[in-house]
Amino acid sequence: MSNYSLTKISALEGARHDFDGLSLTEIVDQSLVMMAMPRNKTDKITKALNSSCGLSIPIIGQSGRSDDDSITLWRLQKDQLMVYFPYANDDADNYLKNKFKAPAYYTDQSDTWAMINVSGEESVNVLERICPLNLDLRTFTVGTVSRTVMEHIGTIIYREGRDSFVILTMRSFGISMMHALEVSAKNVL
Amino acid sequence: MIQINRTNNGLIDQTKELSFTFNGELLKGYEGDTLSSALLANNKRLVGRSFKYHRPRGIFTAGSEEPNAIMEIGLGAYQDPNTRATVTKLYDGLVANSQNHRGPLWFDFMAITDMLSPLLGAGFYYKTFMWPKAFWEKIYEPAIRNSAGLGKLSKQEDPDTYDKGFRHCDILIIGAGASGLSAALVAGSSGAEVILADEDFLMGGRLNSETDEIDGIAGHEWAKNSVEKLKSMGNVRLMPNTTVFGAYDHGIYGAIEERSHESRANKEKPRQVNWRIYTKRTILCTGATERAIAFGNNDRPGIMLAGAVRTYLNRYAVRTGENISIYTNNDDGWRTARDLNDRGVNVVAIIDSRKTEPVINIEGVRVIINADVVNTKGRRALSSIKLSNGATIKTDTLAVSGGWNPNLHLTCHHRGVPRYSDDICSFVPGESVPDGMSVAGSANGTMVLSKAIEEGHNEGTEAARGLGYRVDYTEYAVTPQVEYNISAHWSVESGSNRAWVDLQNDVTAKDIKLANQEGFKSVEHVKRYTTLGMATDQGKTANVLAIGVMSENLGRTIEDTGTTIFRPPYSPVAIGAFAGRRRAKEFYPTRYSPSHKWADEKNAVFVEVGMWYRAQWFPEPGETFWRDSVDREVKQTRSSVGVCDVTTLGKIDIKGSDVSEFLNLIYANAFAKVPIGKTRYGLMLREDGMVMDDGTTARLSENHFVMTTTTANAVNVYRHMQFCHQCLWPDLDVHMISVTEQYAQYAVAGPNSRRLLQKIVDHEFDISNEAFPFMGASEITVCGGTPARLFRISFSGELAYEIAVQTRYGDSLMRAIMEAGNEFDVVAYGTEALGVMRIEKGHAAGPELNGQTSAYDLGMGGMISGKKDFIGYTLGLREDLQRDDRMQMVGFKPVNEQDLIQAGSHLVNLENEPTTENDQGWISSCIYSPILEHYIGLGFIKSGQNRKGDIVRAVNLLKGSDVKVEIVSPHFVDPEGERLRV
Repeated sequence: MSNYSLTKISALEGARHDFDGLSLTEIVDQSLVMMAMPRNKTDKITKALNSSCGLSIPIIGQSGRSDDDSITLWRLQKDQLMVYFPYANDDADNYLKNKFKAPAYYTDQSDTWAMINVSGEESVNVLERICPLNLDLRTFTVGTVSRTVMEHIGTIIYREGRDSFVILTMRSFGISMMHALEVSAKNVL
Repeated sequence: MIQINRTNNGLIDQTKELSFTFNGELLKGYEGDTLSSALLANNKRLVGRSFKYHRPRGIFTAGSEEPNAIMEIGLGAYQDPNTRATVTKLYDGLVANSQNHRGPLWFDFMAITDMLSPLLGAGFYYKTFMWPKAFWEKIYEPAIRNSAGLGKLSKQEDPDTYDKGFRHCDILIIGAGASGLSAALVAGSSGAEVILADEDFLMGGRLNSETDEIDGIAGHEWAKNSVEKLKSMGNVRLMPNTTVFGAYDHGIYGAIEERSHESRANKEKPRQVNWRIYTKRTILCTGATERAIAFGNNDRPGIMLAGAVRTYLNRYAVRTGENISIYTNNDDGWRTARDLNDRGVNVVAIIDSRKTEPVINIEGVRVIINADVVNTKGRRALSSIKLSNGATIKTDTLAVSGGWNPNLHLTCHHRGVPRYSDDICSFVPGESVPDGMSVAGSANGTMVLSKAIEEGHNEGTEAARGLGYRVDYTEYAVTPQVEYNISAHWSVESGSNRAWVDLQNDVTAKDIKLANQEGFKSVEHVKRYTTLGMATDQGKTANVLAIGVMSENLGRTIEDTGTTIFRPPYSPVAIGAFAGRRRAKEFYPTRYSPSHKWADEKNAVFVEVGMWYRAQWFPEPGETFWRDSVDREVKQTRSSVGVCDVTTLGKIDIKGSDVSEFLNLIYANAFAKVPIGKTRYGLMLREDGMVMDDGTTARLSENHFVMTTTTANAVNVYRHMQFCHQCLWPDLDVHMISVTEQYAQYAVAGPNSRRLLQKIVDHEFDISNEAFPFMGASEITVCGGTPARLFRISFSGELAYEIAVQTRYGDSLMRAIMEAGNEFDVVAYGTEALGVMRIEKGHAAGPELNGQTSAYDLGMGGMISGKKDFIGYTLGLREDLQRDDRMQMVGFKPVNEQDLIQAGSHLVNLENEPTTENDQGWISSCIYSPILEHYIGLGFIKSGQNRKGDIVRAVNLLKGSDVKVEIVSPHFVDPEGERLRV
């Protein structure tokens, strides 16, 4: 063994900013894994997901949750699923591989993204300053997930509750995205 | 300080007094006032000087069409020129100054230009300032600009902040007057998502200016109740103070929300918000703008539009004079007399140009039918008018109505052409309007209020039903039907007196006539020759009048005369509002690498590489010149070990049973048989055979590869691969995802790199040369079990590795490596040293991979596989790409080692002059080599690979450099590659 040891830090070092009616909080307790579905394996994967934790594959742009609500699947494109779940260790891909026992390709994406939770009754009013999507609750329902671009930054946005969103931007852009959200909050609130 | 023209009532709050200044004088107004209404309340009739002749000008309108009352608002850097007083909401502390005068407003020295007006007709400067030619730019134009102009810029950075935003709806209703509210009520009741936007801070449109009754109550009360009702609907969003300025493609509208009154109280808040509104349907309810009639000296302060006089009276409780006359060619003008009379303001006379019976009987008011105003008097404000019947009437305000023009501008933003309506003597929307748009109310030429309300309701119903919403709300508001009759009347023969058509640009009826006589027959040409319809008001009160005057001059119909083209923006938009937040360092987002914090602690000098901030070099104490640091970093790396953050290079994880086959198709060299645990250099071509990018791809397991790309092409390569997979070979089992950010990756280079890494890599992994040779790749653990990837690849030409860990450990790994490297005098090196070492080694990079070079040009023709098909193969076989005399990459060194070679220098043979005809090639990259102790370069020269040893000139005319260079191998350091294999 090497004599050195490493310390991990999250993309935004646990940043949190509170405003009247709004909180911006870095998400540090969740992992994200890309699950690619090999050719002709969709049926087997569907069964494995269902039998392992009650998940079903959602339609593109929607999400699905496991029986115990702990694991969320985001469907953003044809042959891929993003799995968002509470896990803090370094082997998120292997953990899921063992849990699902589904014949998919697993790629850890937890460190690829800076994850920010935008919550509070003012969420939509603040997000509409940077998010080009229609976030009206009837259109962007709870559970909807989409790729978009905010402030020139490729972003994934997931509505986990009426007034709660998860914003994902490439990790290196995390500080810029948090800044953009803060500026929006200051301009609006 | 006494508001002598203020009356009772109005839609302002006379319990809330506000202070403001005009030209330094402290004045009072009330909450709900505009700057113009407060000025008129304080009897400020002279508010500015005209553009060209510096004529005294007063407030002419009560809306965004205002041509005269444009002010400089604010002080210092906050000063905002050319702001229309008529749409500026009054706030406490507002500072307003009149503009375009030298000396005080009441005595403008530049008014002398008015006396010279016979010399200054339309196009005078085109005719006059012809000679000498050189004087135009340096003398004539500056002088003209100095004397004729609008407001002044502060010439300081705009300290205000601006924002932007995105809103979506099913139905966008533009304009919250009677028809707009009617449309919103029914559309909102259907459940459709509705946005109702209005440029005014008080919704209601003309209802706030008139005394009409709707549903048995005052029109403004009905408007207020309607707004309250709409507010209570969860699906309706009200956007007052918001001007929809442009209709763009696909149902997108641009809108500016004006929030100056708020930002002046709290400078942290944005002054304006630029909204992008996405809608499925649009109902344009923008109302109409009144126009004047052109008669002699019709521009004096006190001459106003009749509808504006009613607005100031009914909405702002301001009488615009003590003795007011009305001059009209339509029924609407008579309402002004009625309202004034009802409020006890003395109406001196009503002059109607038509042969008509009195429209309204008003006791005690002199009525003059079939007559015109031909001249006016009054030095700085109106004192009397002269009529065509010879009579002179003393009056201090003349309310003029030449009819109403529908505000149809947005219907034309997709090149729609309006048509002329004889019924209202103006243009109405044509058949071609932007997709999804309908028009209602007076914007559609429906000038009768009751019909406008009905039309709004019908359009609202149709829009909602068209989107699948159920409409049960079938009742709409009712109001007595009041006819609108008009007889076209554009200008009055005024003898030698000038009759103004465009007040903002000082264009008279005579100017138009002159332009027509000089051959300008197209309305577009007349506009540009006379400046008619330009500047902040864009001719809102002038254009139709001018077209009427033109049609009379040319003996054409108005339809045949046509209109100019309406383009966005509908009214002025500050450039700052388009820029929004994107200023200074916030022009674009910033990307930070995993070692950024550590590098910052080490005083690294950063450089922007795309959006990335990368360490350029790391100065040490005593180093005063950047090359001191770079030379040290290179020498220390080559003699011991150096570390560089290479996270920014693109990394793509590729998985699937067909990845080998896929890579073999997208790379020019063979990839079908890369062994597990090996890395291979790959050359990617475009379809046309030119080099697109290069990098390495490692095989980590049977079905798992990881590719690296250049930093610049990370996205392009990923996109290219997705295209190839999705469109060309969709049946291949290939799955890719970017892991650029998932891993922090550091190059560890130099003869001691292995010894250093042996302290970091967990000991169960053997990284000796035998166990882990050049081009090895492996998944390992470091620092006590942390998962990592190790690649034995080298960009510097030294024994080198790239080590990657999850980014969460990136900062920590850099610190660990630097600590472990202490015993080897490890050095961190930045992008400059990286560049020096890659040129010393002869690696092509961005300047060489410029999209015009083939593999053969780069000396890599031997890598091209002749045994397979791949992207770029067929077109790469073109004869021209095989020629020996193409520009080929080689190295260059100065004949005199003291000479500096400049990147960008062109190469010519020794005996030739440096001309385009003699051009042999160019130096693409050049650095000082601290190892060779002279400059070296890479570049392209005709037949270069066969010319080694030749001497040519490297000439840079821009930098005054001309040196002799020798053509050499591009591999300056360790050409046999022995150092990286030890």
